[in-house]
Amino acid sequence: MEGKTIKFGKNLVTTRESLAPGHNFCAGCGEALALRLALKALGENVIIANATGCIEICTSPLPIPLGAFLGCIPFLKTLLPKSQE
Amino acid sequence: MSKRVALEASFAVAEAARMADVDVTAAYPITPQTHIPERLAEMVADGELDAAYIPVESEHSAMSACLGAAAVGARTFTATAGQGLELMHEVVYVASSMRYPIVMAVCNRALSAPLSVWGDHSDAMAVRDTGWIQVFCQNNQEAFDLTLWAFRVGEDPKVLFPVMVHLDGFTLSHVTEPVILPEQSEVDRFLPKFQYLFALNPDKPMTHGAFGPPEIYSEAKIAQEVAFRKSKEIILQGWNEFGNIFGRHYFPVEQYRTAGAKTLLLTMGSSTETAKIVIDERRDKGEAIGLISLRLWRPFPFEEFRQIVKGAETLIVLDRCISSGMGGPVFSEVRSALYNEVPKPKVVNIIGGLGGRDISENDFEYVIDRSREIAKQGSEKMLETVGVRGKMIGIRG
Amino acid sequence: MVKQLTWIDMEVGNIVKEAGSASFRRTGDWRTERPIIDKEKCNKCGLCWLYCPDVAIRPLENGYYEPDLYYCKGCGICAKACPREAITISEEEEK
Repeated sequence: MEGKTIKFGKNLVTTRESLAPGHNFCAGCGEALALRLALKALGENVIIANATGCIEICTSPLPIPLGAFLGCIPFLKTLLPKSQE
Repeated sequence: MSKRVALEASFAVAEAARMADVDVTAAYPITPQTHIPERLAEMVADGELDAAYIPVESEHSAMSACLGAAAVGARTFTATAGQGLELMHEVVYVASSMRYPIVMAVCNRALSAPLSVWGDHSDAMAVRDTGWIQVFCQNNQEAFDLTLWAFRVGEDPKVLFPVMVHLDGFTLSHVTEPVILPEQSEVDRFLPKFQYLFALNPDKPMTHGAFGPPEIYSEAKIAQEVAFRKSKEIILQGWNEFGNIFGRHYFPVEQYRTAGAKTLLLTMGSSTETAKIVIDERRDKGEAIGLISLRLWRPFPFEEFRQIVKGAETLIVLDRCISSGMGGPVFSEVRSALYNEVPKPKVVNIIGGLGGRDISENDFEYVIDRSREIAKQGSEKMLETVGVRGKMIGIRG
Repeated sequence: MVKQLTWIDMEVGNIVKEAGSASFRRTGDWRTERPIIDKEKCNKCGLCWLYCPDVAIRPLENGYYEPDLYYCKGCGICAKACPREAITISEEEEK
């Protein structure tokens, strides 16, 4: 795993952030936290396909071109694990 | 050398997808489209086609899987029909708004109820506003040609819109006719590799399908609409190039013996070929009658259409679909396209061929004679049909 | 004030081409309460950093952590997560 890590018990957690700060999730949102940690675990070679919901709206509202993710496709209205050929 | 083979239209479409070297195909079988994914699956299994065939559990998923594939820059093909197209309806909009050049063959089928697997244009008309480029085929050769052309036009960097190729269920999809298959080298000359500049890639992260609050949605939609209307230029250019390479020429509005015609019959899809027989007979007897067929349904070819019907007195529109409480959808659009024109023909609407009912030569004779009567009377007062048993009494139009 | 985009400004397919561009947004002004870390009590465990949904706790070179008030929305999760109660939440006006 690239970059620095911080040790928690037996686990090493990377300091690399895949979810950028400045997103629109409410203060203290559990979903945002889950997303941030899941993205840390997933690493870098990832494309996200996400159904419509808070994760879509809070990371990519349009008037301010706001890309909170580093590599994502938030709007696919289905349970779609397959995105990458 | 190109070769002439007997092919079912469904197989011709699958063959076009193979020659276009599609990367991903995700389809759910539904009558009468079944033969297309069946043949594609066979090609993939036999190694004739190097593609990912994704078996999905519904049409909604089929189109969603196609979105995912197109998002990463794969050349994507799917096919559906009738109820299947209705089930994927919501995702059909997403494909055009996200500007993914997916190609979809639609074997037009009637919509339930009563359950019908046979052909009419109800499904096509239900998706007319979805922002897909839409063309109609009249025979197997066209099914092959237009599928190939669809990739070329949709993937053009100036276009980037999905394309729907409509072929009539059963009357085309299951009919075997001679089809001229070109050489692979000719196809490669016509159709370059798909290079999608904005493909999702972890090395170059970006967001597709962002969310549009009221402050931006209108701008986003208008930008899409402007691009969609501009795509007509590339559509025509695509047909032009196709003609130069393969020798078969296509136009947004196809004409058949229209020179000096006072009466024009407008059909779409496979019934055009039957109509030609009737037009031939009447022309040979000296009647000033001609046939036109809308090849390009979206974006609507206003200019070409107005130019062609300008000199006619009567325009008969045969619809294979009913917009409930309104009449034929093609008729409504055609008439609105002509409303402000001077001079303009009187437009008459006849509805027929629903749910796979054949429209025979006799039916066309009736359509033409009856339409002339109506045109003489003035505005239409009744719901006019052809091939439907029972008199339409007291049914106001 | 955000620039009002016209339809001509729209990207093909409304793609957001830049990743992580959200980070220019100051979400710190949502805050009504702010976290204050007492370095005397802190044992550098990092749980506040781990539990922050807003990526608003920065690890420092010396092993300590510090809230990034440009982004911190003041939710107080860090104070709850801290096993040594080294983080206190105080009203914004009080400083």
